[in-house]
Amino acid sequence: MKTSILDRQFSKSKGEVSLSLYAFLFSEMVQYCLNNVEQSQQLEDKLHEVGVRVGYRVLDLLCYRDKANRREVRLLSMLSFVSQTCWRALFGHAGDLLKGQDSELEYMINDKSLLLTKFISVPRDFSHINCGAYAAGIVEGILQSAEFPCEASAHTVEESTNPPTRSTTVLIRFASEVVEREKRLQNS
Amino acid sequence: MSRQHYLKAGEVAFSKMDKVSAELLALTYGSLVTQLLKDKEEIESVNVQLEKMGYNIGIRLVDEFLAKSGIGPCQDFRDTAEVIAKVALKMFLNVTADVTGWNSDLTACTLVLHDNPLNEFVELPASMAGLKYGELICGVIRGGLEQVHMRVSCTFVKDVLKGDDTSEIALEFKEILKEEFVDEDE
Repeated sequence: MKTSILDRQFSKSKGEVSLSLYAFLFSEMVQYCLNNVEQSQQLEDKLHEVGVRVGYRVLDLLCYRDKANRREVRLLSMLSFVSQTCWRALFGHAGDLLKGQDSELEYMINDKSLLLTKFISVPRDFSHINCGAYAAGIVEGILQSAEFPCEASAHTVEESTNPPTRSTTVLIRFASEVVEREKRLQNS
Repeated sequence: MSRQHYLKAGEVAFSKMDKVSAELLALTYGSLVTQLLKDKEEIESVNVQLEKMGYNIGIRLVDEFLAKSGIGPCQDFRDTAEVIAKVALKMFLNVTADVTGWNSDLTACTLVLHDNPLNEFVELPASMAGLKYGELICGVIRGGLEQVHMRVSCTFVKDVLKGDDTSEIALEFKEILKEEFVDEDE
């Protein structure tokens, strides 16, 4: 009988490939998405869509392999799972988790050197675009499939350092039911 | 130069590269292929698109290869195939391949891949029998060689994803491209 992929063990070794190859592949993906949308604004939506599918799988993979089949159910532990464990597994370092200023529904993950956008220079007439939309898609995919309905989007932040640098922030806006549930759990 | 020498050169070249998780590559590639399958009606046009993306990558990637690998000019096509199998694949994809099945003219051979990071987590349903999942790699090889004036054809002939024992890429030399200079005054 043919052995299915599900019968195989997870490979424990953390395989690596060159960043160049990944960067080129990502650039081809951005190019493809750009050619397949009518307006450039939709580029982010398309990258987001590709990322969401990755997010679903990342949650499964990391819960089974790194967390001994446990999945976080509380809001903050889930967010730190995303910004620490997932970010490290995907991008090699942890992201900074921040709480939104204006709304209790909002959280942010900031990455000062997101490897996805390392080699991407955005032309001036595309300045509203951030290819981190792909990372935002991944975040949304992870949280959605962990039953934390939310929307995630990527934004470019001008850092007031010298010289000025840019970082990418993924803004996560949860559905109100998530925060209500969290309050219920806190009180019980 | 010997096979051992190239294996060593491949190791050294890979160790100097900036790295990224192979799983990120595998997941991204998988999601990209899914997107192509959604956007295009025919599986064959997905194969063509993957090859084309690979080609675009190859024509740029080769610059970094020539600059960083420390490999001099190849003596003949046999040498070229060994360099791809032992150095180039190692440097970028962290895998190596065996070069076998040469024809009598030494213009066609088979690269037997020992592993393929793109295949991680992948299972192809029976309805996708026509999909050449790893075709991107073939495009990269074709694009890279075209930049050093070699036209080749390159495609997957066996694939572990389709139940074969090994993954094999058929590589065939077509011609040396001549650079054409056009004098604008004429």
